[in-house]
Amino acid sequence: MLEAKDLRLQLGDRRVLRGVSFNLKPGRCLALFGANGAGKTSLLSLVALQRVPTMGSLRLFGGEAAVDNLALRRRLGYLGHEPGVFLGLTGYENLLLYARLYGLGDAKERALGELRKVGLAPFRHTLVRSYSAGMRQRLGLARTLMHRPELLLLDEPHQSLDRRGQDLLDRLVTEHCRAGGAALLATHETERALGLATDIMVLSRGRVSYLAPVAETPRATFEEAMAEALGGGGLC
Amino acid sequence: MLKAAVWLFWKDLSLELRGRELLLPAAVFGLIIAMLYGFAFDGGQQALRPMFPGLLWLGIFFSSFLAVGRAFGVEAEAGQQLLMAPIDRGAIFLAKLALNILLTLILTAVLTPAFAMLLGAPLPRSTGLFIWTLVLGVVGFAAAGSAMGALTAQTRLRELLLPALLLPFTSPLLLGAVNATAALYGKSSAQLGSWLWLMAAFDGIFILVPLLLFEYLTEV
Repeated sequence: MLEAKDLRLQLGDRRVLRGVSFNLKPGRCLALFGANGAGKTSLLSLVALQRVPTMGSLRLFGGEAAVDNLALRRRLGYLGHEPGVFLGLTGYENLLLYARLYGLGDAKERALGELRKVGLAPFRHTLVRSYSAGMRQRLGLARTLMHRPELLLLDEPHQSLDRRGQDLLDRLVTEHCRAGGAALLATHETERALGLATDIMVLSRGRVSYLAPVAETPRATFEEAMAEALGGGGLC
Repeated sequence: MLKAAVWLFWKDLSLELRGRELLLPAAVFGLIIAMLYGFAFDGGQQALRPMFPGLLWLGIFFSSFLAVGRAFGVEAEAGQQLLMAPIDRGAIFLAKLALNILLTLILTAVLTPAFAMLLGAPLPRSTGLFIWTLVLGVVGFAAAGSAMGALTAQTRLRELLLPALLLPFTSPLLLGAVNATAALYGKSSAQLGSWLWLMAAFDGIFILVPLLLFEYLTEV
C-alpha cells in the first residue's frame, strides 16, 4: 500500500528528513514516534501529497505518488494538527460539503451517519465555532473517515479528545485496519499508540532509528529507542 | 470542476452571510473614503466633478481590496484541507472568484451612487455603457485579487505582499476603467471602445491564466 525509499526533504537550509525508508501493508497500523521536530509531520505531509520529497521515491497503492493525482487523493484520509473544518458552517454542513466534493452518492445520509458514529448527531445543526476542541476533533475524524479511505494519515489524533473520544478513535482506526485499510499515525500518546499499532517507527533527527512490529518489540527495547530518540532530539 | 465550484461557492457564501467578515468592513471603508474625499479636496462639488472617474475607481479598488484580499485568509487552515480533496483545484479558484465578483459588485452598487452624490457627478451619457464599464472593472479586480490572494495565502508577509503585487498588477485595469468612465462623462467617447477592450482583455487573462495554473499556485 505504501512504499517509501530513502525519502529526503529539505526545507530552506534545514534537512527535515534524511533518508526514510519503510513499507506499510494493508491491515497494518504504523505508529510514528519521535521528539518535536524529528520529522513526523513532514513525513505525513509527504504521504498526504501535500509536499514533494527533495529526493527518494514514494509509491502509493502500487503507483508513483504524484501531487496532482486526484484518484490517489481519494484513497487517502488525512487528519492533521487541526481538524480541517469550517468554523462558520454547522457540523452537518461541513460533512455534507466534503461528501459532495468526494462525489459520494448518498451525501446526506453519509454525513448524518458519520455524525452519529462520532457522537455529534445532537449537535449537527450547531455552528462548529461553538464546538469544543474535542468536538471539533471528532468532526475532523468523521470528515477523514467519511469517504472510506484506504490509507489513514493521522497527526496527533488523540489531542483534545477526552478518554471516551480517544477510545472511539482507537476503535475506529482498529476497525479500519481490520477491514483491510492501513494507518500511519504520528503521536506522543505512547500507551494508546502501542495498544493500537501493529508496527512502531521511531524517528530521530529525520532518520529512522527504530522500526519493528509491536509484537516483536520488548518494552525495554522500545523505551531504549525512545530515550535515544528524545535524547538525540529533533529540532536541530 | 463546475459542480465542485458550485459547492465551494455555496460554502464561501454561507460563511460570508453568517460572518459578514468581508463585505461589511469593505463597504464602511468605501463610504468613509467617499466622505474623506469630500473633506480633503477644497472647492466644493464643482471642483471635484472632473475628478469623479479617478476618485470613484480608487474608492472601489481600495475598499474592494479589503474584501478580495482577505477572501483566502478567513479560512486558512480549513482551506488547506480542501487541497486534499479529489477535485480539480481550479474549482477552488472559480468559487473564490465568484464570491469576490459578487462582493465587489455589491460594493460598487453601494459606492457608485454614494460617490456620485458626494462629488456631485451627473448621470453618465450612457447608463448601459457605464454599467458595462463597472462590470468589467469589477470582474478584473476580483479575478486579479483571487489569483494574488491564492498566491500569497500561505506566505508569512502576506499583508505586505498582497497589496505590493495586486495594486501594480491592476494598474492597467485602473487606467482603462478611469479613462472609460471619463469618456462617458466627457464630450467625446471616441476612445471608449479601446479602453473597454483593454479591460476585457485584462479580465480574460486574469481569469484564464490562474484557472489553468491554480494547481501550481497552491502547491506548498
